[in-house]
Amino acid sequence: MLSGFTESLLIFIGLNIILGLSVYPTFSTGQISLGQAGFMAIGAYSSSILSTRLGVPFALALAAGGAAAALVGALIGIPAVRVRGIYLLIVTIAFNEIVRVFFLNFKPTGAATGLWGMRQSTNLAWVYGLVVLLILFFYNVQRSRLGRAFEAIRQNEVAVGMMGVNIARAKLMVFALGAAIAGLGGGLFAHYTLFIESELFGFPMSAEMIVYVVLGGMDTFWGPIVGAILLTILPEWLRLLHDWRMTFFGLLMIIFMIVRPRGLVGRETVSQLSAFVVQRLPWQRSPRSSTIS
Amino acid sequence: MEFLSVVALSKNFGGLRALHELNLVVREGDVFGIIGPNGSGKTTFFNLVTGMFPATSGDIRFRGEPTNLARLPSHEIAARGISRTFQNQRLFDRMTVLENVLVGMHTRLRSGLLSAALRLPRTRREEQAAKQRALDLLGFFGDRLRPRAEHPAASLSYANRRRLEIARALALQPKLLLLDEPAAGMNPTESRQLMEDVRRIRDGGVTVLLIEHDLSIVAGICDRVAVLDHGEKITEGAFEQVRGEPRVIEAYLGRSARRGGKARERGGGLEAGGGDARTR
Repeated sequence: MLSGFTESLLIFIGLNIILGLSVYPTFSTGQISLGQAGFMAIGAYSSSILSTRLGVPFALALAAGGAAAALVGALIGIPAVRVRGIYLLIVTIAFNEIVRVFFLNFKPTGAATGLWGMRQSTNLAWVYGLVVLLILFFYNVQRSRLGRAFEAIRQNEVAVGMMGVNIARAKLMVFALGAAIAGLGGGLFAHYTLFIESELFGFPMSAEMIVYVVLGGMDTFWGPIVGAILLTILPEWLRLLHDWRMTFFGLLMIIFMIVRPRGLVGRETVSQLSAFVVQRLPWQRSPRSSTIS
Repeated sequence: MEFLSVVALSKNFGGLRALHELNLVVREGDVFGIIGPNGSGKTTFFNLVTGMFPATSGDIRFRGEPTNLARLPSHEIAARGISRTFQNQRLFDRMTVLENVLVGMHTRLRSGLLSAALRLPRTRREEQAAKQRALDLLGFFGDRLRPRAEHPAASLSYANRRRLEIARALALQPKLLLLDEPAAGMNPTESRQLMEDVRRIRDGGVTVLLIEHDLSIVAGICDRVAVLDHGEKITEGAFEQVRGEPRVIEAYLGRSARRGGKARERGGGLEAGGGDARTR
């Protein structure tokens, strides 16, 4: 079996993949939400309360956490999607702070002392089960009518409205979707670490999720996946640099941004890689299957 | 029932009167030209019809419906069957040629988030049909676009980008198509082809509104034209009929040209054969 360290590293890689993917829906329409940790907190707290106080089964508690985050996401999304770019950043940062301070002061969920008593229900199967489901989800949506609409919004918002796409509705959809995924991630996180407090869900956590996308790649959902894997493993490898670890890390980020400003994994990376794989399959598939990534 | 009727349509940008009290009726099945010098309000008119911004005042009615389009968001206007191209090209550059056309089909496809995520048989069939239809639309331009279906839109030549904009606009299955300077930057051969393409679109049952600076194209395909200057319509009618009007010549060439009477001496008004009114 895996050592405890390896298993825990794998779980955190999986959790970070989920959190990175939670940023991607909004990102896929060209907007950035810097409040994902707020949704994560809502998922973490509500699922934990359900499982500890009310004895709700883990799966149900987890789903409820995701749903609660999606609901809040839809509610704040209605005003939030009307603003863009830097203004949306500010709105979502503010939202994140509101949630953090709320849980810092809200007595029923432990306020400043935090919340514990969860059973360790989260394991590799749960985490990677969700990762696989999300990959299937994004893969299918990406090549659908809505996926194309999201991408078109990112590339030219003026034209896409006149093609008949309801931009406000699409943006609300991705915002709530991202919130739901962050909520699910939060629920899994809480039932693995077994202790949560409001400070965990502050701005730094939100910023980290953005970095997965920015470094991993913003053009396809594979970007945040690769970003989350690298950025979870890398700090472990860099431990031998001791105190200079974060400096080196920051330097690496700067280099990446100069060399690959759209992130490591681009659209062409995916299509080239899939073409490469398809060509080498023992059974020859038709060459068309590799054309649309 | 009037196909498109515009009543007292005005748009101000702050103190600038971009369009003032425009009245216009477009008949079904026409190619209707909107001409006039730069800054006369042509594109502003297109932007109002397609809902890029709301009108300051006035009405736009489409196919006898009571709804005033001047108050609707652009996606609802598109859903009613009005689509357009853009003067300064707005393709989705990092998407493929085929995907650009598929985005144009948005209002004609149904699948939502759930059916897409589960890739239901219904969704799969819809996608298949949509792709086939998109390829057919690319085929509208012979083999200019179709062999490049999987290339990114950014890789197309200038004329092909213009063609792709038209194909994408047709994907919406419009009743009314607005073409904003489709021939800009095209060479004479490409322009002639374009005229043929516009005729074929019209013959397919689509009414066309056309902004064009190349007056030979306007003369060649427009059933009627309206001439705008400084945000106001100065005249309307068949091109042959309006081209000699003093106010039109004045709008294009300036007052001194009219006083000198040179334009008229040369045999009547704006030179349609000479091509571009901008190179005056």
